[in-house]
Amino acid sequence: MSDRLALLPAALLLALLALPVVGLLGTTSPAEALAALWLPSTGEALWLSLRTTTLAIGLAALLGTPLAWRLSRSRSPWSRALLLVVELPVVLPPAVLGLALLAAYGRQGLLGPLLAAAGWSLPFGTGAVVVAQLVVGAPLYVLTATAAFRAVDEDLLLVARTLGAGPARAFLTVAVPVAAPGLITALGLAWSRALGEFGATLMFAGNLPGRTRTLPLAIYGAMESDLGQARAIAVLLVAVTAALLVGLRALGWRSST
Amino acid sequence: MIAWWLLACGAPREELVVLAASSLTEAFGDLEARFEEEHPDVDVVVAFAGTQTLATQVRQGLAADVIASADPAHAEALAAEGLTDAPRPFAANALVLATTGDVDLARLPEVERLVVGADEVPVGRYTAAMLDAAGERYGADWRAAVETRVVSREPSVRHALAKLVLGEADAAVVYATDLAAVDGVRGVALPAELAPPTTLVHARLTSAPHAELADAWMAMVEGPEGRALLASRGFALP
Repeated sequence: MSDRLALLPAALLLALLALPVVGLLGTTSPAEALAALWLPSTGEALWLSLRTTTLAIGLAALLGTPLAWRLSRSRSPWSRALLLVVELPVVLPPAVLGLALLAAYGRQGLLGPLLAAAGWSLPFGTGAVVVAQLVVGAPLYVLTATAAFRAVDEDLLLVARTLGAGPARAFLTVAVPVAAPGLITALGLAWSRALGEFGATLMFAGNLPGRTRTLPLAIYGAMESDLGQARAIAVLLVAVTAALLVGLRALGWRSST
Repeated sequence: MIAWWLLACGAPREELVVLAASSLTEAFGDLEARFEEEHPDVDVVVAFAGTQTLATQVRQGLAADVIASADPAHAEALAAEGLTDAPRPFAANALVLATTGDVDLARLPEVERLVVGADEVPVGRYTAAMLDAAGERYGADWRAAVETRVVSREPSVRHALAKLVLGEADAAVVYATDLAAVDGVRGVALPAELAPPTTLVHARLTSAPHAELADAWMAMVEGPEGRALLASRGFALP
């Protein structure tokens, strides 16, 4: 396709993606968004969102990186089936995912009696928020990281191994640095998805200020009472997510040069 | 299905859009079927949501004909802004304590998990007022203990009920009519002096694309047929 031919559809899609955000930003001044931040309810929700997503994405990276690596090195039918398992939560509507999480960890869920016996209860707690964010964020991390690891040349690893590095050391000193820009993109995608998580959180964790009311839930709540405030918190969420993406992008750019 | 498609394509049908509070889901489902029987060339589309969401949609210029609200204050505000005609009451509802266990209001602090509506939605405000009034009767300790049992403030009455039906909560404060649609949940009536009946009102939008149909719809809701259907779904009548 010539450059000029690609221009129109590309511009159309960009406009479709950017217009709603531009419209949203147009409804609220930065001063109003900052004022919303000083409302105790918003500050509390922002702080909860930052804490829970950091934990969720930390877990996604910790558990997801080895999985992505294994998936990237294998093209067997088994690993394709595993990829499908990873993709499943992405295709479910979030509210349905919340119901599914209750069916797994709720009182009457698969693991409910086991958790209860151990004195644990996930639903309605901050742990449930983290689990919901992990389940929606981790697939994005694993899928993107798998693609990044696929680009790591097997020969590079062989060289490292012949120089005496064990598999773990070859992975950490060769594969991870080579794939770093892709891994950072993966983190950014998963993190922003976790920050925006709404449906599964509401269904699985409920809505209680300070405990489970994250920024998206606070926005939804404000929509019922004060639309201006809802917009201001939404602009705040856009700003936080944009800062996160730009920061990670800068990190990825530095690690690739 | 295919027949429905052909029908839908064959005759140009007028679309009457009714915005309704979520507590009306079943009752307005019945009314929609009845209205369409009597007006075969009309397709009634009822959009259910929290009352404030509906008010927002009206303010944003959503093309609709009638709004039915669970909170007269919201409806009065819309009318004051010139967006709707004066709202008229058409039904009343009552708060109940819904539970899967065996509690009553006095022993509410004994439940493990209580779910209520968020402060932003009418059911949440009615619930807070009811609990405050009950606190006068049972004492400040009772009120404080109830507060510690609240595990979630849900954005709509149906969300609150869902948590109870799913077995994740032990009690919830909902409207009496919400319980008609579910099994396994017991409704404990609340004293009227603590929880006065709540009024549902409806109004025609000033920008209604189908003003005459809107009037016909509201007349049916207020008329004998509407009253009978609303009563059969547990609503009280003004």
